[in-house]
Amino acid sequence: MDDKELERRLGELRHTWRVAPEPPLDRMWAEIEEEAFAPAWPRRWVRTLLPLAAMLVVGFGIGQVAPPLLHLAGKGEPTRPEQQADATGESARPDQDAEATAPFVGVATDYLERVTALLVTLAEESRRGQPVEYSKEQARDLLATTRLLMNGPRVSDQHLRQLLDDLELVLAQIVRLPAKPAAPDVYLIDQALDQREVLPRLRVLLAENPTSEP
Amino acid sequence: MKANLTPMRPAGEGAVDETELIAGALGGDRTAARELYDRHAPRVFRLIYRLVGSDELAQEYTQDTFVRVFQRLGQFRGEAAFSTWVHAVAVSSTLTGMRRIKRLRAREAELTEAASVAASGPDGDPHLRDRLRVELTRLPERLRMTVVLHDIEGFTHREIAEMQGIPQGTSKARLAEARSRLREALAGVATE
Repeated sequence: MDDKELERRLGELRHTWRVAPEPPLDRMWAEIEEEAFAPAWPRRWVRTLLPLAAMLVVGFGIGQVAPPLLHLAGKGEPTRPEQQADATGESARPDQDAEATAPFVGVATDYLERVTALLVTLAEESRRGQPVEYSKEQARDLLATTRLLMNGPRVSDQHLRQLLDDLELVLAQIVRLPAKPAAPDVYLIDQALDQREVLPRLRVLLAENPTSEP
Repeated sequence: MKANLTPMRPAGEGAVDETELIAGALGGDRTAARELYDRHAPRVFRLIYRLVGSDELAQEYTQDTFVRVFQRLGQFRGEAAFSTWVHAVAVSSTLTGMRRIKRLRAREAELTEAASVAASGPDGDPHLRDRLRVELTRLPERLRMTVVLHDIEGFTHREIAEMQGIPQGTSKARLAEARSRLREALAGVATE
C-alpha cells in the first residue's frame, strides 16, 4: 500500500470512524455555566470534596475488613482467618476474627453472587436468542462496588485483581448497553465472558468462599 | 488532503464579530459566552469523540474544555485564531482526562473497537477497512492524535503544532511515523 492509497483510506474514515452523535449542547451548557460562572467558593470545593469524603469513609470501612476474604482468591486452597493467624505466629482469636470479618465477607460474597447471577442470566439469554432483560441500575451498582474493591489498598492478590479488572470491563460494557440491547452488543459481552473465563473464575472463587449465611 | 470542515472563523455576514463576543464574555455577558460556545462546541465535541470514542467521555471533556476556556479567557491574546486556542484547550483537557482513566480505556477499547468492526457497513473493502480502524487504535497516543487531527479532522500542521505546543516539524514527523507504521501493519492485508 503506497502513501496515496493509505491517505485515501484514512480519508474514508472521516465518515465512518467514531462518528460523533449529535451533542447535547443545552445540557452541557447548563453544566458549563454552573461551573464556569458560579462563584468559585464554596460550590466547586464542596462538589469535589464531598464524594471524595464519602469514598474515603466507604473505602476505609472496606479496607478494615477486606483482607481475610481478599487473600483467599486465586489460592490453591482456601485459607481461614484463624489459619492466617497461625501462620504469622500471632495469637489466634478465631471467634473475634470471624466476628469482625463476617459482615464484609457477607457483603463481598453477596457482591460476587450478584455479579454471577447477572452475568449468567445475560449469557444464557443471549445464547438462547431471547430478548435480554437486565437491570442497568444493578449493573451500575455492581460496577461501583467493583471499583471500590479494586481501589482497596489491600487487594494484593494478583488473581483477584485480574478478576476484578475483567469484571470491571464487562460491567462497564453492560452499563453502556442501550435500553433494548441488540444481539451483536450482547454477543460481544458474551464473547468477552468466554474469552476471559470470567464465570468459571467467579464460581471457583465463590466455591472457595462459601457464604457466611447459614 | 482537503478536509470537509466547518469554518474555523465562523463570524460572517450578519454574525457578531468573535472579538466582540470574547470581550462580552470577559465582561460577564453570558449570552456572548453562549454564542461562542454554540459556534465552537459542535466541532470540539466531534474532535473529542474521535479521540476517546465514547459519548459520555466526549461530553465530559467538552464541558471541561469550555469551563477552562471561560475561566482562562483573559489569557487569550489573539496570537492564534480563537478556534485554534479552543481546540488546544480541548486537546489538553482530553489528554488529561485520558491519562486519568488510561487503564480503563485501554481495556474498554478492545470491545469498543470490536463492536465498531462488527458494525461496519457492507461497501468497499471491509477487511482492509476494519484492519485500518483497529491498527489506528493501536497506535501510540501521540501518533494516533496526529493522524486524527490531520488526516481525519483536517487540521494543518501549523494548527496541530499550536494546539499541542510542539514545532510543526514534530507534527510532520509524527504523521510520517504513524503512516509508516500503518502501512507496515497493513502490508499483508493489502495483498490478500
